[in-house]
Amino acid sequence: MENLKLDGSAKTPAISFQSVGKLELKGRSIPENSVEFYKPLNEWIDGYSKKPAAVTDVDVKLEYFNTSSSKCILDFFKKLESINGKGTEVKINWYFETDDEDMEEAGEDYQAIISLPFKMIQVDEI
Amino acid sequence: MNASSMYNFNHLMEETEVLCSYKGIVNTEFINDILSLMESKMDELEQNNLVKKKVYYVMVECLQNLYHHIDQSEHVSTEYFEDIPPKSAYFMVAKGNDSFHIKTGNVIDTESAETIISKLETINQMDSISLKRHYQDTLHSGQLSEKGTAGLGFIDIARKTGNKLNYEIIPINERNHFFSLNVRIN
Repeated sequence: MENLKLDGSAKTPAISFQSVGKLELKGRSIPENSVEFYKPLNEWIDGYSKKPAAVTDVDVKLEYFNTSSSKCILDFFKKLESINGKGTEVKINWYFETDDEDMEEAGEDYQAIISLPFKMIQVDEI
Repeated sequence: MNASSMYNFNHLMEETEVLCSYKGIVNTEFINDILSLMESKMDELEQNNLVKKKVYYVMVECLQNLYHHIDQSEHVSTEYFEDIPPKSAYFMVAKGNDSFHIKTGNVIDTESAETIISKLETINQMDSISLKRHYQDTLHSGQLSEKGTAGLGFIDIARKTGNKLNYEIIPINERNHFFSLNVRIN
């Protein structure tokens, strides 16, 4: 399984998905068409699920995301939920900046919907 | 614009400093340019990081709302409304003493007017706990439209700003209404 690496842009996050079970999304997710951006990420998970690492650590370090991305992020988490317990243990690490109550709350929204362990991690700067 | 809309617009202008004002086509290039310009401006004007983020966030949602929903295909011009070319909208950001205002205006069809009024009235009657639940329910059960929209924009703007969504929907002719939205962030 090849790693997936995408550079970040003004509207899309940097992606680093490693087959050793280290996945990271970092930056902004505010594209007009978020479906197009998230499709290859879900496809990568499909391939990864065939031979996953024992532990899949997912670091979500987002500064902003638009409501179109919020649905795609949910679908991405659902995909991870579907592989959890099938040869891998999935853990979500949700990062937010100290004063950013909105991003903290966004993490709590997903936590309420998705049955995966969420660790809320407060940092000075993402 | 009719008298009521014009009054509100002038009233807003007097009490606030206009940071940007635009009338025209809303495409990806425009959205990229205005977001980049306004982000630099906000860095100069506002120290509070959370306020800066909220303003940026509301700008993104409002601009993308316009981008996805301007279906107007004809020129609109009546006694009260100046000429509004197809696919165009108004967008304005202003700064008051203790708040920022983001105002949008666009032509919608009569059918959409009813849907929007119903959505906004539902949201404006909710407190923060109900809004949180409404957001989670819509996120959980909703599907993305063909345009890639999630139906969450107004809910999330209301939730993040903590303010009621101030709006006007005024009939222009049998087919069209003018929809203006004024979001306050403080």
